Amino acid sequence: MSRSKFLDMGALPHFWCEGCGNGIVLGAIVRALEHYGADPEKTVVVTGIGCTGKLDDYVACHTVHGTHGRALPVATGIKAANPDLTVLAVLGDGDGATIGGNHLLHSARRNIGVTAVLINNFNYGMTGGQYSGTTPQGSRTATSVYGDPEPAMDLCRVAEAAGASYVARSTVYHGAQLQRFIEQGLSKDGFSFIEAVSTCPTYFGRLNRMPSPVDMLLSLKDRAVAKGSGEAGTPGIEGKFEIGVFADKGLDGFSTRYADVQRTAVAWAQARPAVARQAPAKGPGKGHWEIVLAGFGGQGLGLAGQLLGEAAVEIDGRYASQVQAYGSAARGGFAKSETIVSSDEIKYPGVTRPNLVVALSEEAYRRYAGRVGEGCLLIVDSGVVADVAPGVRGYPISEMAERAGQPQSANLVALGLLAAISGSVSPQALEESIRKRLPGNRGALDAFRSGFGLAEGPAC
Amino acid sequence: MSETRYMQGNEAMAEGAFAAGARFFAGYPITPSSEIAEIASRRLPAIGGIYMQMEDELASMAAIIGASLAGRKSFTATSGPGFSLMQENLGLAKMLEVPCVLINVQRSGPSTGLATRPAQGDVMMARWGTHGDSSVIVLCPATVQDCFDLTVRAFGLAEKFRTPVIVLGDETVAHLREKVEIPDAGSFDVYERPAPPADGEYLPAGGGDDGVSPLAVLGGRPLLHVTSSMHDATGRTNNEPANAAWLIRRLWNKIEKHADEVISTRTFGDEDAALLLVSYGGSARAARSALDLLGEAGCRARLLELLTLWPFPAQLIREESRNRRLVAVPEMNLGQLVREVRGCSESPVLSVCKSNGEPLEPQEILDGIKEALR
Repeated sequence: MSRSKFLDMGALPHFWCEGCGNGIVLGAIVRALEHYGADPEKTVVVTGIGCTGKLDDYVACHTVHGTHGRALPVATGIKAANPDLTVLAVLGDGDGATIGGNHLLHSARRNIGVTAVLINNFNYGMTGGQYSGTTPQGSRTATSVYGDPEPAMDLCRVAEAAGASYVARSTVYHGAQLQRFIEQGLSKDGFSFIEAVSTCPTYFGRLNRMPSPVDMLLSLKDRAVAKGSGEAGTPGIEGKFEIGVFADKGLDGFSTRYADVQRTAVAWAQARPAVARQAPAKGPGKGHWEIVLAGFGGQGLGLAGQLLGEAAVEIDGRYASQVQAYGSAARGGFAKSETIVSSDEIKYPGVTRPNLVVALSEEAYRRYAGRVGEGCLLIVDSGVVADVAPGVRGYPISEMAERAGQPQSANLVALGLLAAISGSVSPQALEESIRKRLPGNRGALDAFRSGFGLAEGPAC
Repeated sequence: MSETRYMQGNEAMAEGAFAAGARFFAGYPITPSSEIAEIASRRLPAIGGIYMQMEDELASMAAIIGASLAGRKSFTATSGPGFSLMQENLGLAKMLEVPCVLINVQRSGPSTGLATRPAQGDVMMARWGTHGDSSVIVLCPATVQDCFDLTVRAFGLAEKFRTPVIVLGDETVAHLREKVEIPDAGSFDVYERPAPPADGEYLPAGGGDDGVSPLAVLGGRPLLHVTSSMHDATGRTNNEPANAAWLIRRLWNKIEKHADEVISTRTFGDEDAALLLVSYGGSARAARSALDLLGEAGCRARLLELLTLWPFPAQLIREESRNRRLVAVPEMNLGQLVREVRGCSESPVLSVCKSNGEPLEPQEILDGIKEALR
């Protein structure tokens, strides 16, 4: 067999133990890349940590050696960033299927166009032979001398169920088949998963009555049966297991599907060209206002505060700041929106001395009723709080919104009312803000105007 | 020229990233940073970029490393619990010397804590969270304008120093809306990654004692080899102690020896005031107002606002702290940065801290100082 240009001869001899299957997988990988016609400058081999993670040392293309279990998400970023690259992730069973099991599931589901070759030698070799997620139940390892109590996971069935476009299994006894599966995997648009069942005579074999590499290879030969040829289970040291192609669905990869997202996003952007903004001009707004809009979540208090600040800053050329407190459930509970509007740059953006509060709920009213004596103007929705304390001004805010046929627009009625009472922002600026943020919503403007008009009438 | 906008901190950080040329985002939703992911998911595909929602924060950090190596300016955004998970691959980005930006909008912990409430409890995790000796660049916005400007700057520093840069926001600034001037494209500097020569010897991990080598891109020439294991200038594994000493020291020096290029601060108030406040992020805004309150109470004060937390501006604080009656450090934690200030201050240091999920208020700073001076 000819030598592959993907094998870095200068890096040999390799580091692995005698009888380790990794060298066979390395041979299959470099020959598959060569035969597939990959360009070393357009090929990236990504590894994680463990004996398998040393494989990048021996390949002559771009290489990234990362963290334990994370080769797949690193490879995902590479492939997504440049879909023209051939990206191969080489994983171990502890690395790729145990600590990195979640990434395997989601790489398969996402069908990122990466070819993952997972070398399954039934244990953690690099750290001294402890049991992994693929160690056969009952077998002995450095951390299961009485027998591993945990069953092994069938990785090909898992990858297939998770949605991988191409799934195949071979062994290091079947090197030519393994090479063919890797080559097939490289040609797929979606995620390819190839499991190479391998040998670790140094640790796993020695503790499980297969002390020589030949014992281990013969065990693989005896146990592997062709896919579909009969009763077979998870790869292990007892019973049969299947080798062959488990899935070949021809699915589109992530990058192909994301190209559709990009086309849609560009079309949307073209359909909604950015509105040219005018530089703010000094408006008639005046004074330093610390305004609280308080009520419950879902009333649009944040939006009203945002419209106020936008009008002040972007149109009237004033300063404004807004903080918005909310619980982790957004609707129903007490909520408030605090906005400062000022002629000067705002130092602390939180409202510490409110001079105008609009309360749209009973609870909001109770919370701020005590502020009236401190030079704070408290306005309440008289439809919510019937009996107001002296000095508090009630206006039929929600009633006004309902009358305008906009029951959900109490926030905009309140906005109109507070704009008229405070003079902090010009009504022209607020109307422009509303038009910009709620385009085509005539009712929103009506609600705002009715609120603005309310201020001219008597408070109750 | 610029455009005057009323913008949220998270929005300004996202816009800063796009303005700096970021075209790849990978993340996992988490309050209070989710707006950044949402904006990236909408904006990036329209400008030739890619948004990926990963299975967790381990994968998010790993994916931006991969994307950056493949040539795209890349970033992620998270909050405390996610930042904890990102420490693993933050270390990877440091070791591989991969430019990328990690925005951490701090929230109240420990653990799930108060998921939507502000805190500044990740100051030390940002500095020391990943295992091993390493330096780090951490920028800290106090205004929405900073959110934009510092994010642009973060991408430039990341490329220049070939390192991850953390933008350490907090909920009070990230969810704050205020005035911001967004400069027109082309009117500010955007640092582009220099390419190594295509031919000849390439040392991806070279850089002498305190520099960096240009980063080759995956998919071109020369071939790039990067490894999380100890490596020499060729980028290949090398476990010799002398080599390890060189690499560990170079990764440290490349930032620490050039701290002057990274550190930025602002000052307010009288130069010769008896009292110095040292603060950052959302707490610095409370400190700005506290200067006024202190003035009303007859106490002249000066504020040193840190826009760079790491590398720590020790020399500057040493000079600023000279001949003060008191140096107060307001922050929203049980006292993290104050430890660093104590290490270099030439005057007595007071910690003014708050850690209950509520923003620090100006009056509380005043009260803390009054109490100490009584």
